Amino acid sequence: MTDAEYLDAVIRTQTLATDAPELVELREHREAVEGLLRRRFGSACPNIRYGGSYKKGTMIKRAYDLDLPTYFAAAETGAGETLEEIYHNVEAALRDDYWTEPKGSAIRLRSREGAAGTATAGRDFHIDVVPGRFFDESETDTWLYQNVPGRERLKTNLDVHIEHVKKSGVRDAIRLMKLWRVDQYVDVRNFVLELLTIELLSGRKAVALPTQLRHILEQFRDHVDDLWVEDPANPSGNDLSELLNESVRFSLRLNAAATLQAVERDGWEGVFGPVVEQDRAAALGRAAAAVPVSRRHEPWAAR
Amino acid sequence: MQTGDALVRGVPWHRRETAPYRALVGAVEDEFPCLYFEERGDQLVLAGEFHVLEDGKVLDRYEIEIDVPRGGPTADMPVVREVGGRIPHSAERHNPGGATCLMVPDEFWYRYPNGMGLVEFLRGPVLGYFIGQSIVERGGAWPYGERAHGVAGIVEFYGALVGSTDPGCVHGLLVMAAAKKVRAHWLCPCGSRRRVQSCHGHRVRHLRGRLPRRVLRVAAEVVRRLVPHARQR
Repeated sequence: MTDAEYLDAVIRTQTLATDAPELVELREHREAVEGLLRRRFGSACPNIRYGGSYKKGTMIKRAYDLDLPTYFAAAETGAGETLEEIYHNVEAALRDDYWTEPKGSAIRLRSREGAAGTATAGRDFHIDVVPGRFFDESETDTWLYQNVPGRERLKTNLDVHIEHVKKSGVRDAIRLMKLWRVDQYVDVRNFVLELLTIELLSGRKAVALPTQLRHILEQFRDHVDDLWVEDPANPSGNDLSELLNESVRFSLRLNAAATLQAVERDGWEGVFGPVVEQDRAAALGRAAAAVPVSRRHEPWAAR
Repeated sequence: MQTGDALVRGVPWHRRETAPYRALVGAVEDEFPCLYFEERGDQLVLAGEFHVLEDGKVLDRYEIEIDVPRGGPTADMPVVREVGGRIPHSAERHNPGGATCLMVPDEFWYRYPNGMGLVEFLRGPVLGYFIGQSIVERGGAWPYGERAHGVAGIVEFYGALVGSTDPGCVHGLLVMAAAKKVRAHWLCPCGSRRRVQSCHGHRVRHLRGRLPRRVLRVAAEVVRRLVPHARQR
């Protein structure tokens, strides 16, 4: 198996199919959250969408989270006057059915274990509800609350982030770098890693995936202090320097160096581990058989 | 062979019908999160990574682009292109413009006379095609068979419907099916010397009932190339 074939196999085994049990459950929770908020806020009910790696097409099985941007209309005050009130009121509504954990701008959902009053956090549902309010009637830019003293509000744009990644042309590299981050315990936020990957591979989209990864890691190892990122949704307004501080840069440099040594020694399998794949030919045969007869077609081709 | 789409002029569907367009974007991108819509001039394109799935696992991935018909998703058969370089570009495997040959376009209209929603199109013909492509790449045969390329494939398709493999007969029956009115005195083109109404008439009626006249007209014109000395009506 070539390096490219191996990395493709890694990506395939890490990609969650739309009917995968994990995604089915996520979608069920999305509906539950929407129902809950609709019951609580009635006509002020927010616009709840899919966000994050699901919408960007970069979700990996090893560490997946579903972002649920939950944005209220610009003039809507039914959930609170201020962003902080909106955040806390949404969290209070979610506590009806979930164990909630505040996380910066998001609210993590877990199951509630035990009786009311003595309940504890149970299973992690991998869902982050992100309350916010649209900036204006165009419903594009949004304000988010941040539990950060001095920077309690953040202006951003979900669609810009999603498009920036989805149309980057380097989604495969992003997925593998996310996997690297999880497997090697690299101290960097996914958001920053995405931006760095896209930036470092600009002009290299047509290059083979193993070469792309090697380039990124070499840049982390040799030039991490020269790297910087900006929020594509608000480049002048959102300062991301704290997300790429000295500690993060150190982690990137150290782990990149170790990874490149591992690649030299054991190939990419030394980084991502063995890939256990089912018999693809047999699986493709089953997939072909599963297509309903009414949806089968003979392609127009000569062989 | 763009047919209904060719009749739509002016503002493309996604700019005329903004609410249905937004609903379509939500439905497609929720089920296929690795695909995205983008406008290229007036053309709405669905692009990105398409997954061949089985039992919750991704068996294969293809970079694709789909041109959404100008008249709307159900106005015509969407044009699909594989843009990741997996399918060698050849006249045998592609239509002009690089479109993959999912099926004879006339079959699309025969099977889906009201068109097909984009999600259904992705779940059905597109998925089936790329499953087949993955099997073929591994040395297997197309799982559902395949048609001869070009005009011969069109003759094959209509031949199965009219019960003849003779291009002349197929052409003649297509001409009749495409006519404004099937005349009672017309002789059947199968060579029986009987009137068509008492020969292949039921086949002609079946074609007229299932396919738009414009599709039949174009098919007749295309098949005529295989028939020397064919008369035009």
